[in-house]
Amino acid sequence: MRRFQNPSFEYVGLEDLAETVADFKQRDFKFVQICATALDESCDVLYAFVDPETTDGSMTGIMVNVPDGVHVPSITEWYPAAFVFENETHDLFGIQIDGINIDFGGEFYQVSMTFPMNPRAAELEQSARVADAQEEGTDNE
Amino acid sequence: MSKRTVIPFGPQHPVLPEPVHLDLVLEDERVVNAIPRIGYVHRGLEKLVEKRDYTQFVYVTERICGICSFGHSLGYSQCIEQLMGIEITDRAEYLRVIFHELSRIHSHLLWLGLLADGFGFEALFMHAWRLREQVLDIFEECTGGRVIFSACDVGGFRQEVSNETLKGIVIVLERLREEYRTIAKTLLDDSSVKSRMVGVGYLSHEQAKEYSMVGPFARASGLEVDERLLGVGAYGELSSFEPILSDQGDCYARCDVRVKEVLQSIDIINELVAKIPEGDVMVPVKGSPEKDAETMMTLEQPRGQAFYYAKGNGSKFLARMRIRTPTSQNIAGMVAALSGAELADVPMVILTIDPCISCTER
Repeated sequence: MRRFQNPSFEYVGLEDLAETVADFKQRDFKFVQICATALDESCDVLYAFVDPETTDGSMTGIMVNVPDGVHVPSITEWYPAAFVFENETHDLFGIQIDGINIDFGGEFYQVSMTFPMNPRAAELEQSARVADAQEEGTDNE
Repeated sequence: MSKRTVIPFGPQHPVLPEPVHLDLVLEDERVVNAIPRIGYVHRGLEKLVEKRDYTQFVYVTERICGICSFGHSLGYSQCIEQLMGIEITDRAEYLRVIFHELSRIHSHLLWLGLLADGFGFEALFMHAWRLREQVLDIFEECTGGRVIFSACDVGGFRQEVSNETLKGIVIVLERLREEYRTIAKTLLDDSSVKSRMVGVGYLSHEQAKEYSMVGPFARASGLEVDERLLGVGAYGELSSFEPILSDQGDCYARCDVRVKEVLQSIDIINELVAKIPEGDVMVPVKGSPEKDAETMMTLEQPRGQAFYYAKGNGSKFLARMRIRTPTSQNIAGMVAALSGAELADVPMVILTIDPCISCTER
């Protein structure tokens, strides 16, 4: 009896993400989901796909490490359904994603905390806001 | 030139049992765009892995959704077993699939009742839910719970269910099958049902593929996607399995697929009860997931493919647990199906997609 699936993970650089996903689309890979994991000074973002060539339907995971403050390109150009997960990744983890086909600008989830799954990103956001406010105050003076 | 209007739909609406909001952009009475918004009941359950160890977290996953409760505990347990290399017994695998298919039956019957209620077909609504009660009675008899019954756990199946009880389940389901056929025929053959659903909310095979859709929603557009085809667990022991497909792609096709899936689930249960091996239902689980060990797997929930990802941190607490539910994946398809629909048809389109917002808002 087959008990387990047999997924594979591949780490790619952020600069290679778009090219990898475009290649997957061309090879008819099925998009499954995107999720992030908060690490010490960065986040890992997992893009899961199913290769139509595999006989057992096992998934391929593309893992991208995203340092704090670095922007990630959207994959909605190739997989339009990814907009849900990209908005979610922004709203819960504070990862900035550029070029989403339907971008809610941080208003997709009505959560009471800023970036609840990644407190470090929330602190950075708060610091940036304070710095902006102080700079504005200095300019007004 | 027609005038564009934006009509807010939800988060509170008679056809929506759970809150989801849509901004419907209309030209006259026709929807030209729909912009979804969720997050009204987001609970952050994935964050709870920091506070609950991997054996406790199965109770959290069960509470993601009342309808898919068993499915989520099954998906989570399988994911952790895959992460830790735990092989459960064959009998537990069979019991898991039997109860998962029972859950599919009660989920589809619940959907059928909601659809009928949305239609104003009160008698059908009550009959569908009356039949669903029989499945809940089976859960109660076997596990003591009706909706959340904590039967699935990492390492197997927590309750031993005797062969006599399983044979009793088959007898109940055979009775249910006959009654269900009558009410399903009433729905699918009714001229007013057809006039409201045939050709409405159409989504082509190409669109279903483009939007990476899953579950009965995708299968109604002819896309052959069903995780049961992977043959993991007792699904691999079935003599044959073919997903129910339709190439019509409209609201009626989505109903037709779900209606037939109930009968298919009864067949699966019958076959597995006849074949179920003897043996224990739990294996002891020791240790913790290794640091940085990670895995992912999928499961066919009643609404389609659900995704589970787990990463260990060397302790009893996981570094990350991710659950992607079928409705999240179908939101893009829902938006596409609504485009071109009449405003009056929007409730029907949404009901036939069977969105589960609790799952999406885990």
